[in-house]
Amino acid sequence: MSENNGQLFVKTIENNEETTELIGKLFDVSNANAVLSDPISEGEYSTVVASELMVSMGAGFGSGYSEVDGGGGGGGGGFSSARPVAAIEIGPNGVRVEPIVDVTKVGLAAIATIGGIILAWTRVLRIAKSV
Amino acid sequence: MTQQFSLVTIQSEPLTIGKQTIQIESKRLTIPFPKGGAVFQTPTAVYNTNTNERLPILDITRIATLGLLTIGAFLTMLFWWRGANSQKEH
Repeated sequence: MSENNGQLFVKTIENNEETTELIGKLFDVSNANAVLSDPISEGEYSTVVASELMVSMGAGFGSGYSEVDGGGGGGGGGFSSARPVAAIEIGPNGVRVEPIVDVTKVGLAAIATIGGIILAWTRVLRIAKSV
Repeated sequence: MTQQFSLVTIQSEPLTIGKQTIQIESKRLTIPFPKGGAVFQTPTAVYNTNTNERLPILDITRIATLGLLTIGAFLTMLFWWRGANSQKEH
């Protein structure tokens, strides 16, 4: 993994070509080894964490000219996220995969689902009462 | 930029720890925009190259989340449909 992970960076881009170059680097970030963490070892056992990655970036430029003055500007932004999916345990007996469950994410999905069902059910009851 | 929309299966470099050597298989979805792009990559399996064994990686969080949202959407639509039907009947 890159040593720049987890750091905020600001970069001044002079022209469109530099933008294209920077966006090209986005696709290099997610290489085949990017999903793997460094191994953590304890005795004969080692653990490697496999993670899901999402990286996105966009930029835009604009300019205008007049007889008096001209100008231009641009902006861009992006985000990246990683979520651990499984822990791979490597020991003398072989390799074992242990799934990692994000309880918060599943819990929020469950709350949203139950909320949606209650809202729909309430509407059905209201209609049944009104007719 | 020469990137195109793609969904590919890729393998990591072999990682040797002790006597075991593993390789991670992952799926990568690349979505290019005119001035940007998005990349989504998720691990799908582990290969134990010593035993030629393929161990699938199940993303339980994603399965559970999508399952719950599907059930929620289905039940909500069912209730709306029943509500609309009862209005028509009367």
